[in-house]
Formats: sequence, C-alpha cells, structure tokens
Amino acid sequence: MQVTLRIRRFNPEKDQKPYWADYTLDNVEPTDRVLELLHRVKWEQDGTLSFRRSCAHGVCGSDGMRINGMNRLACKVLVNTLGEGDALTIQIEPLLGLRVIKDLIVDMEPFFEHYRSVMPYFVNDDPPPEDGRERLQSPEDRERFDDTTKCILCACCTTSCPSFWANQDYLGPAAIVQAHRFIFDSRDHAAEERLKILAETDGVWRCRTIYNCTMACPREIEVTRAIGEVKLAIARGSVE
Amino acid sequence: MQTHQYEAIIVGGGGAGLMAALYASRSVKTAVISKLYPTRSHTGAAQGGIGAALGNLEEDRPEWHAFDTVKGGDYLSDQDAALTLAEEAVSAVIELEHLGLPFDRTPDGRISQRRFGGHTSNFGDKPVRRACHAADRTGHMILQTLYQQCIKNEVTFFDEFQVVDLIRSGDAVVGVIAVNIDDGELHIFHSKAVLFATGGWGRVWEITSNAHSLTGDGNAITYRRGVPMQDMEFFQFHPTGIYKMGILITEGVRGEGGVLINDKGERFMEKYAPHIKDLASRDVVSRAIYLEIEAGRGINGQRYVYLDVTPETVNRYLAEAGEDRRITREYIETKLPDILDFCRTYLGVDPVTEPMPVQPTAHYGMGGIPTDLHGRVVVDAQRTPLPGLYAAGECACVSVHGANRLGTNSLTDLIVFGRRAGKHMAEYCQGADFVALPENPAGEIQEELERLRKADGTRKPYQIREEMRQVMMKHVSVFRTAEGMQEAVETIRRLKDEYANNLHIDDRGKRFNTDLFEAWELGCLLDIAEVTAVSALAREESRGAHSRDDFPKRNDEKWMVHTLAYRAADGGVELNHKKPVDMSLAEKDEKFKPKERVY
Amino acid sequence: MTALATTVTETLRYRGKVGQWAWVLHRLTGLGVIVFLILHVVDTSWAAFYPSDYEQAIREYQSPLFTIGEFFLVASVVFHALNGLRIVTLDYKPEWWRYQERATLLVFALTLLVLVPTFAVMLDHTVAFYTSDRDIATLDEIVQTQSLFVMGFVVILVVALALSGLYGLVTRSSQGVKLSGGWEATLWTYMRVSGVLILPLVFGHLVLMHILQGVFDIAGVPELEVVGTNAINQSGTAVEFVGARWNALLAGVAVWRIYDGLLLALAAIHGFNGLRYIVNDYARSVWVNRALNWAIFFGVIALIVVGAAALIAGADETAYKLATDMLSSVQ
Repeated sequence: MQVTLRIRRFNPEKDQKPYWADYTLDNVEPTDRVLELLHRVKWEQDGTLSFRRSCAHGVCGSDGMRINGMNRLACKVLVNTLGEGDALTIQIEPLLGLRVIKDLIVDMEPFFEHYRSVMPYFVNDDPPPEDGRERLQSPEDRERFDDTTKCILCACCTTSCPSFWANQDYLGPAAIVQAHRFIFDSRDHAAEERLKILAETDGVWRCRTIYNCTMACPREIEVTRAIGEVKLAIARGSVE
Repeated sequence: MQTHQYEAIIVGGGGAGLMAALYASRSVKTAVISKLYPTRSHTGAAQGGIGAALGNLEEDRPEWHAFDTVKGGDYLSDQDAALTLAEEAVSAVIELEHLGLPFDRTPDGRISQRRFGGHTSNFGDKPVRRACHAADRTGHMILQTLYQQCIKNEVTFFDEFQVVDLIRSGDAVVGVIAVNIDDGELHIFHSKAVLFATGGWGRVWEITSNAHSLTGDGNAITYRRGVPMQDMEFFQFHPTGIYKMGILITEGVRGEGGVLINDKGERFMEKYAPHIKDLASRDVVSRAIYLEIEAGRGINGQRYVYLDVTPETVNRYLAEAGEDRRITREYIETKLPDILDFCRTYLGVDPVTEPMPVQPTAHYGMGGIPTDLHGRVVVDAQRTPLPGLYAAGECACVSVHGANRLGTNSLTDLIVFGRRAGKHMAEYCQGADFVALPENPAGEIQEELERLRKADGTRKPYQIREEMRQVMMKHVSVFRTAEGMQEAVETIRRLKDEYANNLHIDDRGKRFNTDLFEAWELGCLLDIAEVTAVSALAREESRGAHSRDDFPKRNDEKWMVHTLAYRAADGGVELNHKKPVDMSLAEKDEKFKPKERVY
Repeated sequence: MTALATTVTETLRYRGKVGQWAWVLHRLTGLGVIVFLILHVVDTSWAAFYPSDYEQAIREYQSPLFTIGEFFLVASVVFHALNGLRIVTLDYKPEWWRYQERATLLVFALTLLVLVPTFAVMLDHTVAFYTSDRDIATLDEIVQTQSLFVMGFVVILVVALALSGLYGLVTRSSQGVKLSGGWEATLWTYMRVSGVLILPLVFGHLVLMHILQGVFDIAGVPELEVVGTNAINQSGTAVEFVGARWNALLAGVAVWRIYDGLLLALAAIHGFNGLRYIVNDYARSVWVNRALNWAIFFGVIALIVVGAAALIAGADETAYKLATDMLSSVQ
C-alpha cells in the first residue's frame, strides 16, 4: 500500500516556525510499524528528519510522539491500526507541552525534573535481614504496586494531559505513577514524604480525571487509577 | 570546547554502567555519559531473569551455576571468572532486592525463581529454578532500580552525549571526548579512569533482538585506540526471535514449559537434546531450529518454527514427563505479560491460544573488550592491564560466557562485574593523580566528524549498513563456512572503503544531527563486523556459537585459546591466539574438564 | 493566556476520548453556573434590601435573552451534576476506571433523558408567557441595569490587579497563589462531598423553580400559590414570592431559609473553588494569578455574607409595597 506521512517539522537552526512536510512511501506493509516508515523517510528520502528511537519494540520509551492526534510510541503502532485502503495519510507531530528541539524531538529535561522531584527511589534505612538474605514480601504485597513498575518514562501520558498542556509546573501523570510505585511498596519507608510532595498545588490535585493519560500509556498502565489511589491516600492520610 | 574534569568517567548508562556508577560515586567524583537517557538502555529489554543460586525453591549451589556457565560456554569461559560470577551472583541479587528491585515472590515471600536454558542442578543432572525474575521484565526492573538509586545518590549524568573517542596519553588513559547531541558541541572529559559499558553490537546483523543504538561504540573506540577485541567470533543467536522482526521472546517461555514445534508438529528438541530438550543452551537450540528449517521442516516450508506455550500443549508435555505442575491461561498472563503484548501487537497472535512464529535472532556478543576479574582492561595474552581503562557488561569480555552465554547470565554479568569494576575503579582513582591531557586531544575526531557531516559522495549510510547486515546474516551467523566468511570479509572491506571515500549524508546541521551520528555509528559497526568475520574465519573448529560446516568438531588441542584481534597499522585486523583459557576449576575438579557437550 | 489558547486548540486537536470532552463540558458548564450563581445571589438579596430593584431584575429574567439563558443554565446544572457524580464515583473507586467511558456515555444519555421532559415543561411555560399579553422588559432596560453587573466585575478585576501589582512591587514575590497541601486536599474532598450534598438541593430547586413554577410565575401573576408553601402571593410581586417562601414555617422552622442557606454555602464555595482551579490552570502570569485568586477568595466571602444577610433579613409587607409600586410604575 501507499502511505503518506505528514510530519510536523521544525529545525530552529533554519526554520522560523514549524511546518508540515509530506512524504510518500510505496510498498508499505500493513504490519509495518510507524517507526519503520519514519526510518524509511529518513534513510531513503530525507536524512535531516530527526526523531529518537532505540529498542523499536516498545520497552525503551524513546519514540513517544503524536500519531494521528494521539500520543503513541511509533514502534508500537502498526500501519493497519491506523486505517486501510491503498492510500493512507498518517499525521505525526512531536509531543505537546515540552519544547521542540528539532522535528519530533522534544526537550525531556522538564519531564525528568518532575520525575526526580517525587523521590522515585526505594527508601528503607532499616538494616537488611540478619541472615544476609532478601527482605520478605508477600506476593499480594508485591502485586499491590505491580502495575506502576511497568513505566518506561516515555512521557506519552504526561503530554496527553490537558492540565499539563496548560501548566508545565504540574508534576504530571508519569511522575505520579513513579511515586505510586514506591508509595504502595510494603518495603518502602518514605511514603509520607512523597505524599507530602504530591499533595502540593502542582501535585495530584491538578489531575481532573480526564483519562487521556490512561488511554495514551503504551504499557497499558492504569495511570488515572494510580493517580486516584495517591489522591485517596493523601485525603485519608494513609496508604491503606 | 568545554573541558570537564571527573575522577571517574563511565560511558554508558545501562545495567553495568549504572552499577559501576553507584559504587564509584560513593568515593570519587563520577560522571556517567550516555548517548541515550539511561532508562532507554537495552538492559531494559532483558526479559526472563537474572541467574543466581539462591536456592529459594529447590537446592542450588554456586558451583553448579559455575559448572553450567562453563559447560554452556563450551569450555571457553575463564573458569575463575565463571566461579566469581556464580558466587557473587547471590549477593548481587540480594543487593538488588535491598535497593528495591521488585522481584516476583514465592508464597513465603522470597525471590521467585524459574528454569532457564542450560541451568541445571548437580552438574547437569536436571533443570533447576535459578532465574530470579520480575515477570518477563526483569531487565526493565534492574535498569529502573539502578537508575533510581543513582538519582538518590545524586550521580552526575551527561545524557544524550555521544562519546566518540578515548584520550590516551602515553600509557595512561586520561579521558574521553564526547559530543553533546543537542547542539553538536564537542566536550572533553578529563579523568583518572574511564569505564566503558556501552553494550552490544547486534546491529551488525540483519535479524536482531538488539536496539538501534547497539552499534558497538565502546568496542570500536577502544579498538581504534589499540585495545584488542577478544573472542569476537562468538556471537549468540537467540533461538526465539519473532519471525522477521527479531524481537526477543524470552527463554522464560520455555522455562515455564513452552516447547518448539516444527511443521510436522514434532517437538524436535527431543532429537537434539534428549535430556533437557527445549531447555538446552541457546547455541544448541538455535542450530536445531536452523537444521529443521534447512531440512524443510520450517512451518509451511518458511524460515521459522513455532514456539508453543498454550496451556493445552504445555500441560500435555508436563503430563508426559510425569510432572505434577500444570499451567493455566492466567498463569501465563501473569508470568509473561510483555511477551503476550509483543505477539498481540506485532503479530496479531495470541500466545495463550496460538503458537508464536520464531526464528533465531542475533542477540549477544560473548566477546568484547578483554578485562580481568576487576573489570580492568587487559591488552595482551599475558593479561597486562591498561591503567585507568575499565570495561563491564556486554561490551566487555571477562571472559565468563566463553563461546556461548547461558540465559540470565548477562544480567548477572552486569551486576557482578559492574559492581567489581566500579569498586576497583574508585580505589584506583583514590590512589592515582590526573595525568595531563595531550595537546589538542579532540583534533583527530573533530576532523572525522566534520568529514562525515560534509560527506557528499553517493552512498547513504543505510545502504552500506543494510549490505553489511545482510552479508553478516548470510555468512557469519548460526552456521559458517570458510567461503562464506571470506566473502563477508571482502564485502565488509569494500564497504569500509565506500564509507571512507563515497559516503553521503543529508544533514549538515549541528543540532541533534541523528543523520551524522548514525553515520558515525556505522563506522563502528563496520569495524566490528570486520573483526568478527576475520576472527571467525581464523578459528577452524566449531565451538559454542561458532559453528562451521567445514570444521564441525570442537578442537580442544588447538583452540582452547581466546582470540585477540588488534587493529593493524594498515587498518586491517591482526590476530593473536596465544591467550589461554583459565582452567583453575578443572585443575581441582574433574567435572570441569572439557568434555563433549550433551544436553 | 497562551496556556488557555494552547489548551483550547490542542483539546480540539488531540484525539482524547469521551473523558476529555466530558472534562471540557464540565469546565464550561461549571463556569456558566457560577456566573449565574453570583448574579442570582446578589439580585435575590435585593428582595430584602432593594425590593424595587429585585422586581426589575425578575422582569428582566422574564425577557427573551434570559429565557434562552435559563435553558442553558438548566442544561449546565444537569450535566455538571451528573458528570460530577461520575467523577466523584471514579475518584473514590479508581479501580473502576475501566467503566469510565461507558459512565461518560451514560452521563450524556441521562442528561438528555432529564433535559427532554424538563425542556418540554419549560417550553410550555415559555410559550404560555410569550403568547399572553404580559409586559416584557426591553433590551434597553436590560443593558442599562445589567451593565452595572459587568462594570462591577470589571471594577473588581481592576482593583484586584492593581492591588496584586502593588503587592508584587513591594514584596517582589514571584509566586502565584499556592495553597498548602493540606488545604488542597481538604478542598478536593470538599468539592466531592459538597457536590454530592448539593445534588438533592439543586434538583429540588430545579423542580420548584423551573418545572413546577418558573420565572414567569414569580412575578406578574397575582394570587398564585407559592410553590413549596401554603402561602398565596397576594401582590403578584417577586419580592412577596420570595418573602413568602422564606417566611413559610414548617413545624415552626423556616425550612426554606435553611434550604437556601445550605445551597448557598455549598454551591458558592464549590463554584468559587472550581473557578480557582481554572484560574490556576490558565492564569500563568504571577500578577494575574494572584489578582484572580484574591478576587475569588474575597468574592466567595462577600457572596456568602450578602446571601446570608438577605436570608436573615427576609422581606416583609413594606418591601412588598415598594415592589408593587415599582411594578405598577413600569406597566
């Protein structure tokens, strides 16, 4: 089939403002990933097209972008999920809410800054078990936070959130998901401090239960649910 | 040009690099330079587990783990390294747990373990549950946990900086040169010690499980600066990559009971490894699949076989084997969620009800930058260290994996040897002084990058790259012949020439010039492809992942040595076959002496 | 304003699912209701303090411009209430998120289900009114009086901005108004609790004042029974209508004053806090953010004080008389 990629391009070195560029590709397989099409454009037609990518199968989180109006990983979207027919147009834009560095590449620094601000690391200063072995945790306690361990920090959720579009001080879904992973880990001891950070004006309360983040997550994390659980934990003053 | 000074520089933000950074940063000023955001590293794609003889579910011992590692490596593993790996694996995994890694748990709250290819109890007796795992995203959890701890410990990161050269001053290693990808500016990092942890080079082959970023940068950089590449002919083809795409399907699938099936519906591994069947080591299984395909027993005559983990099939074979265990759909969903997701997304196949089409996929380099047990890079057959230079992880060759790596041992390697290297590096830095930088250290690489940026020939990087990948896939993969490899060497040399004289790139800008860096990475790939093909051509035997039609037997008389490949003055490859394999365990214990490998 | 502009354009462009559209409508309807609430509380207080002005206000509410507005108001209240209930449910049961899309569609469906008969009845009232020979306020009248409201809003904003600017110059503060985490959590809970508590009150109010009787019945129909009481609106003035309601006793208790008082307190704080959320999302300039936050803070206090004072003062025969005089003067 023939596919036209309509790509939002911008190179601050030479462009005054962003523009749309069309690239037509022949012999596209319906099972091709959008990332493969981007590669074909870059390799066969225009090497200046810039985007991030690495693993190409949805685990590294490099290639988050807006595809046909929704935040997705280019390597996890197959052409046949975007439409059929001999001629298809796919629209591709950078993620919204982060500064565009070049073409589909956005500045991830503010995103990672929010991530770092929620203490996204395990805290337990008790001495480990005396037998030198692992801390124990029941399968149920482990299950409690399983969903949020899946996050790959691709920013698809955070940049799908209208609250984040309006106000980039909002910590955003991804940071809250990361905090959730530790808040509900029975072995961790810093839940209270994290909840305090998240209770601030730019924390969880900016979430309006819109669900764009949940829909955007390429790892199918129940993002809004996780945020909801954190809100309740703050409101009730306890993680249970 | 900005100059930074850190006592320790770590190149690469994957498992080994971050583990080393955690240790080094405790006592010396450390920076991690990574061409990706560290959480994008390919450690995160590792699925099935990390091997350690915790014995949480059944009896297990580090000696058994060491034995499996040596046998799996087809006796090319350095045995002191294998023992170190197996012994320290236990404390390393416990340490990861203490750092917060969310392992799956047994009912009594311990780290859950499962079976994996080549891992046995009692020196090859029967499969053992040794792979500590977090569903099928163990690598993701390791990467995340280590990155999180680095943030906690305020490790300095230079993200999206591409290291392009190593600075040597006389005998000392004094730093690296990196480009800030964002604005294209060169930065000089002056240091007392440098650790390379840049991962693999699977992108040399057409079908690979490796990320686009795995282009062997660290290996190429050190190789160009006089460091030999060890055992590069041994590159593992994982038996089960998704057909055509190469995406990895973890061995954990077979660990949970999945079986390989050919076009006739036979569980063909019964023929090739009657004892542990589908859980034989990877080289064995990959060859078996290849042979089945060559014999026309690929599914519908195509170049793939089925990997079947549907509960009906698995339970049937479990019953046949007289095991009590049975699996359910839900069990598969919780144990292999990502695998199910990959198959559903990319193939439209639901592994819970249908078999998955798989073929061998280029996966892991056993060889690499030679190091000792402390991660110090050693540069000759006498294992003489190069002061201030370290390597760990896939880019390094300790050599623990020998001629073939066992599943789960890569993650163990990262943690055990990443930790060792980090510790040693810190000690080294505390006792060493900064050596002055040489005059204009970046001159050479700056010139090369400028050449690439302005390259105005007729061949685009991807054309050269695809040709290289195809020829390597055809001639330097699961089965090899002298003629094929010769052809590969010649093709690579021609491609190198085109790369040097007739390259064309489009992007002349400075900002985030991925066109330029893809071209630069291609240069690394070409060097490594050449080293691999030349090393493989010279080794006239079949051992582990290196299987030759023209030399089908292992030859311990002549080839119980590591290959060292140096860059010759004319840019070619110079081989040295004088480095012996460490046999310290065999000297004390009969069981570790080389014998025929039967699974 | 760029924050708001971006949000508007990107909300239109981003292919969010129904959840996103429900959120947009929730904001718009909330905004509509709070604006009406402010007008409504202020002018209803005139029944106690400026009876003839109140009579004039109701006259204007009976005019076409406000009649259309009433339909929007009722639709807004119904959607905001039902969607709010959905959000409250999902906020307290986050694990039910899988049903959110279906729940949203259900909210849309229920909104329609409630609105169709409601609008039918309201339309009936409206048609009856416009086909009668009753007197209707002219546009001139409306502009003359309502522009005072607009000017009031403008003055408040200007004063707030000026004070905020002054404050900024003196303190060099570069922060907008941020509440402590404890306050945010309390307000978050308050929004949900008040939202649920308002529901019966607001729907009761809706039935009484828009379905059983409407704005056309409040004034200009002498000797009509005041809905929800046994009282008869002798003078047919809006002031007496309101006065009679507030004065009606059930077992010696002025139930309607309590009812209206509760509605006022719950809705005003809910509405103004909602306004605060919107302000903090889109007013990114520190001065403007601070000004609007102050305006909201003092606004809600003022509104509750004014409303409560009116409820306590009530309206009596003297007021009815003034209202009657006013009505006869315009007719």
